[in-house]
Amino acid sequence: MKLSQNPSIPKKAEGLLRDLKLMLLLTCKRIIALVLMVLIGVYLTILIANMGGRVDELRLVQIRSEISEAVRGDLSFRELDSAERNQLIQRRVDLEVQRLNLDRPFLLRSFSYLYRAMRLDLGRAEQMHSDKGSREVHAIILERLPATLLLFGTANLLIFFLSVYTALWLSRHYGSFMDRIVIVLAPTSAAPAWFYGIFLILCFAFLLPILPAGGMVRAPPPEDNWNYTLSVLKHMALPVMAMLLSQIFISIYSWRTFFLIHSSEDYVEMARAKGLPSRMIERRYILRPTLAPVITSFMLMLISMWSGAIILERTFSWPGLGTLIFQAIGHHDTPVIIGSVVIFAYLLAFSILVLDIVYGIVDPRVRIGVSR
Amino acid sequence: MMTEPLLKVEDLRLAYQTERGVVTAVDGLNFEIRRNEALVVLGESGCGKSSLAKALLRVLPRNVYQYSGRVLLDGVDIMALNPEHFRRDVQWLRISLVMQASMNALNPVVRVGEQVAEPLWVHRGWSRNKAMARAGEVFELVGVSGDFLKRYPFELSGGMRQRVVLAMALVAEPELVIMDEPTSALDVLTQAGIMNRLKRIKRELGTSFMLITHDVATSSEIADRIALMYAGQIVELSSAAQFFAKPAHPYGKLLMDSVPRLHQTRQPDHIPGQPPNLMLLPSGCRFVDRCPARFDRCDEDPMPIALSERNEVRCWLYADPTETTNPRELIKTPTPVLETQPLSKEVLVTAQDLHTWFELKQWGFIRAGYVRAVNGVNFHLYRGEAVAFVGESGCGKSSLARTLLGLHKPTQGEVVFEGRHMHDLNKHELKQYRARVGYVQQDPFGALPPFMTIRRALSEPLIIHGVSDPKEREARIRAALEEVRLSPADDYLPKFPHMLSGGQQQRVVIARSLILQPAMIIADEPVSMLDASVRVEILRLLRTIQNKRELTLAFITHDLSTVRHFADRIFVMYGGRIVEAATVDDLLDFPQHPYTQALLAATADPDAENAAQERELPGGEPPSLLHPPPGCYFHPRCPHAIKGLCDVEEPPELEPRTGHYSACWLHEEK
Repeated sequence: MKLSQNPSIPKKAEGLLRDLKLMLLLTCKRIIALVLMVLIGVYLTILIANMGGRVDELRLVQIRSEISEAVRGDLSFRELDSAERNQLIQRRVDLEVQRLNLDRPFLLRSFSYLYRAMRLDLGRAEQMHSDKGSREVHAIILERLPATLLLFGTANLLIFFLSVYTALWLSRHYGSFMDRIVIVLAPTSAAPAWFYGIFLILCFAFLLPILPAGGMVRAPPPEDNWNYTLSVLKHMALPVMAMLLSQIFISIYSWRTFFLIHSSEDYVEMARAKGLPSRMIERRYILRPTLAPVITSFMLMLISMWSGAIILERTFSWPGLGTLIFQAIGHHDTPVIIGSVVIFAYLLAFSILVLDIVYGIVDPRVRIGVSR
Repeated sequence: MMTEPLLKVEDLRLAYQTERGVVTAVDGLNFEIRRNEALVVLGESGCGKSSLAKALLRVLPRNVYQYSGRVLLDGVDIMALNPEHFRRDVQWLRISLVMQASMNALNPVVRVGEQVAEPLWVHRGWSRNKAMARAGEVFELVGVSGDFLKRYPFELSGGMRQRVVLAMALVAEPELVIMDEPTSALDVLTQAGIMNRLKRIKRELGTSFMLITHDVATSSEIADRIALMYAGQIVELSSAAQFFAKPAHPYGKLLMDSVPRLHQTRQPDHIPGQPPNLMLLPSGCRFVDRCPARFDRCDEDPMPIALSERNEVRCWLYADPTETTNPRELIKTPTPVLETQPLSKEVLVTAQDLHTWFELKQWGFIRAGYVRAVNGVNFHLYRGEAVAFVGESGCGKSSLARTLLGLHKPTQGEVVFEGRHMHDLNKHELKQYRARVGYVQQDPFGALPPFMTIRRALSEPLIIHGVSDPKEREARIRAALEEVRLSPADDYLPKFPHMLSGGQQQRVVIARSLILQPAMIIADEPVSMLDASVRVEILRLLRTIQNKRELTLAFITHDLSTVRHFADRIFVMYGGRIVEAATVDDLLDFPQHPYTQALLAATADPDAENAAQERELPGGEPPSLLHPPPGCYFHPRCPHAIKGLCDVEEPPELEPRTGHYSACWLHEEK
């Protein structure tokens, strides 16, 4: 018997090189898929926000009444007779309609909206303006985005790493006192973050006034960078804590269970028999194979958190995207609403993309494909 | 050979604390393994043999209740070492472990080469490159090309994965390799290939092995000595030659008789009864309930009695050395010979040019190709005959069964049942058809709903098929249980599946398949999940019922040795096609197709001689069902392949002997 037992597999790029190539391929595929997804999502938003063109009729009525009021109120047009005045009004209305492209069919306009939205050219706000006074939706959103990213980025990273390491530790100390406490506390995650937010504000801003109740920075903002950062951190403490409280116990609990189940896998037993140090077993044989599912559950958590952002930001008057959407809805400011949703769609798509790539890195089955 | 044993185990005990009580898995074992010796620990499931492997390597679960004894490795008690010392100096460097063949023994996200090399850089502090180079060497040693070092486990076939696990065990050149069922989940050819490697490694490297298995035939492939385990104890310890020729303990004798053999006309027997509960061990001999040779003294716990040097048995029959009682004469095993009906010529089922292909999708909607699970199969099954479909995993035999059951729609061709074309049946007729065909699955526990009592599980098919009278249902359930010899029925009816043993569960599954009075039963590997001693029992039962009811039994298996007494005809399948079809005796005694010949060569009858020689095996792996090779599917592995013919044109079905069909070009010239 020779070595003929091996099937002759065509030589391919091996090891690291192959992985890099596959990762690149995977990333490209994912980007294409996500662009498509964002495209569809944004287009649906445009359709819904314009109610399939019905909003245009309202706007037409609104423009007409505004202009006619302005013309009637203008003293310089007093001596015009009603026919001439009406003509003037009609001319001005037509001009306005042309300026807003309302004369073209809605379907065509929806595509041009889509095109501009995808290029992040989000048009001009109708009512709102940025703190610097710009009417560009683009500018308004860009002003608010960093605040949201800062808050949610910090909270999510904290939740992820804290839960994974606590869960690993608990899986080693199965049945210990801490373990039991986490099990008891797991149901607390049934309440959303803003719910805890209200209590936290009550406790730490009013009963025990050590932290600010809302906002992002002290008014007036401190001059030097150091104090500014400190102030932002202080303001962040409560919202981050609220998010932590609402998510951390359930994720620790579910991941701990997960690690426990996986630590009785055959390959973990094999690693123990090999006499590997327990740290190595934990990292390489328990955490690494389970990282992909852990990330999946984290991703789901993240998505639900993005959608919960609006209320949480309102609760803490955090000047982020959520608050912006809330205000825009109050003002019926369609361009801003669409703009924020587009940005949310991008944020969501981007977080999925990042996690997909991470997925490819942690799990070779994803980048290579099992079916081969 | 040195006489000083490499490993000496003294009074090893391991017990677990469970919710229901203390389970004594390993109860006072004493044995030794010499250098370059292979000890096979043979026993049924639940006899504590896997716990023994874990106890030796200290891979213990959390709920250990008792763990004591002495394990001397080269005269040093390794049980006394502290855990850190043991981990650094003994584990893997001196004793290593091969786990049961499965995807699971390898970490799915770490390259196999790294997993193999890991112990070297952890224990020996070697550099990565040096360790990887060594891993490459070991890969070649077990017959895997070094190109696979950088692959992940899921990119390897089952056989290769098992070789990698073997390479992992050998990488640090340990003195002792413990193997826990290393080949039991593998196909016959792969299994024989790995055994060949083991024999060579043992010969060339002089490693000692401890092989743990339930399979008597596999054990004979490498054994120098046999330790027969029963209910946590070693009941017989002897040399392989002695054990396979003439086992001393009654259990060994019965076990040997229960092994189906390829070339033996005597029908195998089963061992009645069940092993004792490890929580409530009897005070006397643990085999006493099942032993046909028991006498008064068996109520006392027997001590190991030395028969000769290194040869001992735990049985009172040998207590008096002057009296040379031979248990073979004491044991009167009734061997009722199965009567088989002459074959009728009434066709029950016909498969015409049957194809079952599964579409593979890429990205969810683009067609990436077809898995040709069943690829052009023709046969007739007659009323009242038992037919075996034999083949390796992935040869399409289960897909064929599911197509016959009407669970898969054939892509092409058709199934004709009692003169009716199956694709013409409407919904109502299809329901009736399903009542006419019974199905026995591989895993009895998975086949029974865990939340239904046996009564409910059995009454369900009756309710579905309109037996509305509860009294009639009850009567039929009782009759069915009687037929599968689960009596008294009242003991079983209110029970849930997990309260029954594997063999009993499989009987319930058989009863369920019979309850609607089918004309045909399809049994998909009905015994492969069961223990050796129960297997024969279930097969006999199926055969008896089939004979009595004049049923057609289509019986799917990968194990040729079980076929002889339990089928009339055999179809050998390869790559989704039937390559050879004949009556059992004709096929086993005069195999025509090169694939069948290879299968038969790889199937072992237990014999101490097996360990001495390597088997002739075809290389390569079974064909891909997605991209099958052109011409004869077997030609890439066939030693007789004719260039320009076998690799171009599909062989026709020829009849080299009367009534014996084989799809091979070799028969053409005759």
